Amino acid sequence: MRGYFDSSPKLNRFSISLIQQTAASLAVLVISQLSRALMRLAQALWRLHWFRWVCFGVLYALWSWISRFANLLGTSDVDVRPGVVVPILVGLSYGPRAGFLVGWLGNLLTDQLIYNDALGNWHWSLGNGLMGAVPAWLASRFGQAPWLGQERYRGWQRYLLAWLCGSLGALVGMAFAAFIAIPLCQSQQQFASCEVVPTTFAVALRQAFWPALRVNLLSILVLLPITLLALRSFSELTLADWRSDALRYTLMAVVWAATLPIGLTAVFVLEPIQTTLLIEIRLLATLLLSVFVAVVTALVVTLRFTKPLLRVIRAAQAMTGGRLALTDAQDLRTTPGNSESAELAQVFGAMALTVIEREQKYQTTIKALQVEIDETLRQQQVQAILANPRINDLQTEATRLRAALKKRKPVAEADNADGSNAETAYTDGGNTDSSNAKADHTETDSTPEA
Amino acid sequence: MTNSTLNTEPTSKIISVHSFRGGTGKSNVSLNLAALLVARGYRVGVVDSDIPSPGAHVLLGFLPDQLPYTLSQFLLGKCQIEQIFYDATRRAVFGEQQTNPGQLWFCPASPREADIVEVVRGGYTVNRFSEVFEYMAKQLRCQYIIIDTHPGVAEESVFALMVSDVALITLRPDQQDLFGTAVAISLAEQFNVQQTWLVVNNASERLAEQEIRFRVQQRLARQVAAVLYFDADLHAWGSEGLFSLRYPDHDWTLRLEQLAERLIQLPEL
Repeated sequence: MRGYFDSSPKLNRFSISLIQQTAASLAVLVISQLSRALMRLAQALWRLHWFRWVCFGVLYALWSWISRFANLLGTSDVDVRPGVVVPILVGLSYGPRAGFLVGWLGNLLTDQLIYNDALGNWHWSLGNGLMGAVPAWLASRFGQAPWLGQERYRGWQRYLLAWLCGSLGALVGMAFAAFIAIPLCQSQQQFASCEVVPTTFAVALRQAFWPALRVNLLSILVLLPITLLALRSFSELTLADWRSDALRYTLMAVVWAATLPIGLTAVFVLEPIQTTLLIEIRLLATLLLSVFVAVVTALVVTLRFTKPLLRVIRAAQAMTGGRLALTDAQDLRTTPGNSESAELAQVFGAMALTVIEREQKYQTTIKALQVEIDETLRQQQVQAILANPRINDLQTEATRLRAALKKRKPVAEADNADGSNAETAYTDGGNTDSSNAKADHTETDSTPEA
Repeated sequence: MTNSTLNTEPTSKIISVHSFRGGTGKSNVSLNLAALLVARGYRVGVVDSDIPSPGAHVLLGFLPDQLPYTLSQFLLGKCQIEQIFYDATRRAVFGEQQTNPGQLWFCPASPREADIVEVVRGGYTVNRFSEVFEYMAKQLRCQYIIIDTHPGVAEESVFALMVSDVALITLRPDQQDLFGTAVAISLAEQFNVQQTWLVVNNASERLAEQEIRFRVQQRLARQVAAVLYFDADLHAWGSEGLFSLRYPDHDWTLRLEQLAERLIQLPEL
């Protein structure tokens, strides 16, 4: 009893930890419930089509806004626009109307973000909408229904069709936007672009249509096939695939190897630079460091992934040669983890165990069957049995019985004998009306003779 | 069949089923074989002469209470011979499927402890066994008499071997059984048994049939009549009734059927 009271401070500590634990588990519960509710909300919203189009439109706008700094060709602020694949892809995946909405909304938002004027260039928004809608409509003319469902074209045909439709869509969309401005600007409509685009056809072609088309075509030709491929892979990806070691390690390696040099370069570039030599040294250092990191990452990742595979391969080789130990097979079977390499090892281990066990059983039986019979011992045993004084009695009786049974009797005699005795045999409740044809042949056939 | 062949009564064939050790499936082979013969329209008698450890009645679903008179009592002279045969035809055909069955006469050994002790202690004369076989052949007119013997070389087993036309020796493919089978073959030769058939029972699935046949033949200089593969199904079925009725298309059943066919094809001895 005393010891029990002594332990009260411990009890106190215990109760504190209990409170902490309860609080922690409550927090976990609340967070998990909240995140689950958010997930459910997102899923419900995603099921609403307009929400999807808005999301894609925002994506298009953000992408255009982020990439607006690139100014390689001298087009007004929107030079490289990788974002144009978004409306085209949405159109191809969900139909012309969705493509139009995303293109139109995206350009509207982009104009708002860049020029702070969403409606000033509404004809370009319409043109972008057409760029999203026309490829989808064209594709459906070619018999290609919404892209992510059942597909008629496969392999290179698929990408060729996407290219063709996308390019034609860009052509139509940009042509619309560039040339509609001519009559509109002539009729005193006030566009921002009326200042840069004079009202003649030739100038509109050279200064509005062609630069816009060039920019979009570039993105379409390069990005559309890549994005289509990526989308397809993503649509085929299931939750279980994320267990994959290959996926995880490759992702890790690529992300790490890609972010490091970019990060380093960014640091160097942002820092005020003094001399050209210093820049060159820093760039060289970045290059070397990046290569080093890439090599190390590749090595580490590859080894992590291939080591379990090599283990299985070695085990398979050992098994082929009949050298795989039972303990090794057990180790393989109990490999921890649920990635594909771990699973391969587990499955292989289980298989090896079964095969080894069966093989051992087989070998024991074969060995048993190979043992020669000891002829002396055999004769001894036989003689011992025959030496039994009762054997003679048995043999005499056996000979008598055999003779009695083998004696062939005329049918009539046999029948008579049966007739008198059969009843006694059947009295113990046997089934008398045997329907057996074979057994009854003698009785039925011989009755007239008798 | 013409009248001329009917001039003589068909004689009974006595088939004794032996094994060196227990548990090789003697009772299973005996009764399933009997059932397959009954299904082909023959009159078959089965004698459970394994007096010290009877088991055949279980396969036919007989409860001890249903067997008031048995071979054991007859050997002790406690009952009449006609009391110890039980018509088990209905137990050996599957439901109503069998339209034209033969007949199965079953002569059990007593499952009661007291009877077993009494017979084993008291002994009996061989002539009593003789009477049983003769009665089955002549009065019950069994075309096949199958004797399920006690494992090893007990007196009744030796007698069964002496009187049999076909000695079926069941064995498992292992060393001990091979030697015991070798001794049994020598004895069968000594007693002029016409046919000695080896039935390898409970062969492991992994062992190829050719391999088993070759090895056994090499050691015993005898053809193997059948290789019956031991199977999880059979194991699970245990001794609950006749396996061949429950699984007529199972490999084990089909192989036993071939054996039955071979018995039927056997010329008059």
